[in-house]
Amino acid sequence: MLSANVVLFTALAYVALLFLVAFVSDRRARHGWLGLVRSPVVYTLSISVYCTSWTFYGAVGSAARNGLEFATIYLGPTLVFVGWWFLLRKLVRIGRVHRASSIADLISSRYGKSTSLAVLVTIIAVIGTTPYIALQLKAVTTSFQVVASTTHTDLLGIAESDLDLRTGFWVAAGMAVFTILFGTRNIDANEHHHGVVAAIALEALVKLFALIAVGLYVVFAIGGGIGEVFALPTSDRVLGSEVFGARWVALTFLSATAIICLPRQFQITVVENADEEHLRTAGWLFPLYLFLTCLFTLPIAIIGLATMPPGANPDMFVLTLPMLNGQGALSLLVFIGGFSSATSMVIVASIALSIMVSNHIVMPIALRLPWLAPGVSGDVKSLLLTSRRISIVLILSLGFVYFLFSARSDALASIGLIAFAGVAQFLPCILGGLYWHSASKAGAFAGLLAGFVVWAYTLLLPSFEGGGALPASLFSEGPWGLGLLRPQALFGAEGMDPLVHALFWSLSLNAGLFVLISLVKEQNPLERLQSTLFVDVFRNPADRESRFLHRSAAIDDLFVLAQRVLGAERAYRLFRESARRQGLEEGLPRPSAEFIAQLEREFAGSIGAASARVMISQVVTGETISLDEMMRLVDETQQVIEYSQQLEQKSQQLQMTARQLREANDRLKQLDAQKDDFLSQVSHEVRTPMASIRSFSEILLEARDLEGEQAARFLSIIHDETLRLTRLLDEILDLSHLERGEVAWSLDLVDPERVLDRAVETCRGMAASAGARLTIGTRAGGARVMAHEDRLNQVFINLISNAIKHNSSRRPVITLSSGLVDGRYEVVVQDNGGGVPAAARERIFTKFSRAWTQSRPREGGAGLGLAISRAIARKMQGELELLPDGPAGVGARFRLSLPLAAAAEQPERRAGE
Amino acid sequence: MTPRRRAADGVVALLALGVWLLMPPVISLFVGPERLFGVPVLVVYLFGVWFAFILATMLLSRRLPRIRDDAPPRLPLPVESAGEPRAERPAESQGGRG
Repeated sequence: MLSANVVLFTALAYVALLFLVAFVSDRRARHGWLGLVRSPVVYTLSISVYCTSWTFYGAVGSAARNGLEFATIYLGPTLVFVGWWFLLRKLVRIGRVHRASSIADLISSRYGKSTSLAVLVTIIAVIGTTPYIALQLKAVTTSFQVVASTTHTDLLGIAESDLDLRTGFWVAAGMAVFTILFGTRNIDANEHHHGVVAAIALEALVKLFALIAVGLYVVFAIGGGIGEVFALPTSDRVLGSEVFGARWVALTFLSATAIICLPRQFQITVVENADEEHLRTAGWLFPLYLFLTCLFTLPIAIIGLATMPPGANPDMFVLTLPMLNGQGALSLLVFIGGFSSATSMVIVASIALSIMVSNHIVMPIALRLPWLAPGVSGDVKSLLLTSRRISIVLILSLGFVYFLFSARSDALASIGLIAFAGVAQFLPCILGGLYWHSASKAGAFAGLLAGFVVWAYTLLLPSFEGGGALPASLFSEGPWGLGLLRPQALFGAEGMDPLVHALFWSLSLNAGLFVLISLVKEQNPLERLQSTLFVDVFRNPADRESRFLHRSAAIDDLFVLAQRVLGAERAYRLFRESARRQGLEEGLPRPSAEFIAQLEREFAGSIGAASARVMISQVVTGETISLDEMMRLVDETQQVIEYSQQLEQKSQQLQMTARQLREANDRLKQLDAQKDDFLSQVSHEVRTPMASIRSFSEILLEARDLEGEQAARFLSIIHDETLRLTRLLDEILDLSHLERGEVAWSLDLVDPERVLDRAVETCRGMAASAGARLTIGTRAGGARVMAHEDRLNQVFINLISNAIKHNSSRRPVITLSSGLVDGRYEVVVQDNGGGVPAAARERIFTKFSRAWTQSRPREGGAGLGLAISRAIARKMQGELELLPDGPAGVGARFRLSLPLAAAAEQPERRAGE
Repeated sequence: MTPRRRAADGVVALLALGVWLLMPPVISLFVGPERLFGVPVLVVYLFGVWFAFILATMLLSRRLPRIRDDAPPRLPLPVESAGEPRAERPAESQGGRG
């Protein structure tokens, strides 16, 4: 057995060690030597502030009563940390970017920097945490008395009535001193408390070491091995209970929620986070810590139940088992481990709460009190520090008073889960705030309030049952006899586990109201801005804020304000740094919107977002309207982008239409020019024969004495010229009919070879008179095309006569050949003349072109032949074209091609004939 | 799909698997008198899944992309650098939203 003095001395020495570690770390951090304190391992260890004495002692008690259920409290956080990439990373990023100083600050900042929301969150956090602090005090007190006890009966656990409350008082006082010393030394830029974190990390190691030591001792020294332990009959008792029901799910969910929402967890995980990369290690190392913590819980519970005298308190098995076996040193280690877990929780929780109370309750009041008011005129920094110190004392006193009044009842036993369920009310507005743009302040406030009230009524209130303060009828019959409102059977939901019952009603009401009101109530501009900055934090760095929020202020006012909030030195450094970044060599920076936004964030790191906004607003002018406009702009940007895309499409379409119109216009102009040409050509062609007719007829009229023979010659010339005129007019009419498609031909099945032969025969005479030779080359043989025989003949004759007439060779030779190519019938008429000049190739098919006959105008016809021939060929789905120049000695080559008649048509047509 | 993006998806899959394995009815399947090395199967299962889960997270976490630090520059502490050039990495910012 250990004497009380030894225990006391050890505890004091341990506390002195903590002070030393905190002091040294703080000093080193001050000199910029952060080293170990900023390592991921220390970060992970400090997160284990999650494991309080409720874990250290209570887990075994829970295992002894409910078997594996204790594990749920650690499985939930494990799941959250495994998924760190999605939730914790975002939370930490937002916390860093927006300088969230507490969970209340984060929530208030997200919902438009609302003061009321921050106050509500702070109140819930204080109410949820105070009993938890009391629980720690009780655990330390009890364990101290057990470890220092002299009688064996104490090993059964100290009866509530015998608790020595003085121990609790001294623990609370000591923790207050520690927390004030290291938790409120200064208002750090990032609320980092390096000394505290180092001490917490050390405590985390101590408690894990103590648990593993006692676990190994119990399993191998007392139990004799793992197998033996589980062979004990109490093993079946422990594992026999059916725990995998609604409560299992609810507890896992609840603990997962707690690791996010507990103010002390937020403080350590988010606010004290030095580097987001640390989460990568914490993601698996913290679950491993929890795993090791739980490893020996079951065996200790089993052996405790098997070997301890009946009636022993299972919550103290961890301590009483080694004591009963006379292991003084080990029990002392266990006591220190339990002490560690209790004190670390108390320290971090009171720091977190004091920041919340000072930032969200004291500051807003100070800013609104007329005589303090210009919170601006006083020294805000020292006001903050003082209020934090007082808050710490108050919070710990509150915890102690709670402990004082409830220590003698067993109300504290269940307070751990009750506190979890209390802070779980933060979950909807945190998750909504992180992932849902439309989540609004009104919704968050209503949900929180409703959830909090239901939680207090269904879970906190019943925990006082039997304390005498509340009438028993409230629980059995409901308030004023309203059965539907019984705290543990709300709306008649009976038979549920009280925790599951309370969790179900509080969270569903909370989330329901949150979503409903968020959907109904419009966000104000600042809320919308903040929601964008939070939800899209990975896309919108916080400095985007200044783009939407245009403000101006006198730089001197800002500087005075900054000195008061941040302290003279920090304010000076901040302003110098910003001035340098703006490119100013000396003096104060320009009060740009960007700078004001940065300053507000710096303030938020110290006094919370809501108060920072109030303070900045006091010296800033011309904000709200531009904010409105900018917010509208944010929404409109999307629409503008869509409109501009549509405009672009339209303009492309317009450009295309304009181009088509331009092309059409060009064609029309060309046609117009052709028409003019045509008219002048026609007049010219008509004028020449008319002139000769007129002159000869004049001669005939005037010279009456003309010889009969000569008169006859003149008359024949007149006759020839009129014939020529008629032919010309016929051709013009023919062409215009062809081009306008007015000619109705019936296409028949024709043998083109026969038509070609006919045309050759027709031209023989003409060739002979011109001294030209007609040679027939390869022939196609049998072929059938759909054509008009006479018109086809006309085309052939035109081609042959052109070749004869326009041949410049001294010994003209015209070669005709035909063939079948790709399902088409082709005829090529080739001469040995000079060919068609390159420049005239396209023109020869136009009317009156006579391109290559300019030198010998009288030889040709009207120049309509090729134009007519081409029109005829196209009418028969064929084509007439001038082939490219051939080898030397070969003149012009014209090719007529016609599609062969489809095989199916032939018999039909024949039948029709 | 980049390997890093796949790692982020792996985390989701791991979480889903974890919830599935640790919640009833799956975990209830292991309730029974059977023992493994003298330890009830249920206990072996629970702690085994838990430990495997930790190992898987450790392996997966290494494959997740580096966290790009673009928080606004801190107050001029000597160790902090102000305004480091930072590159936009689309894969990562998407992971954040996933």
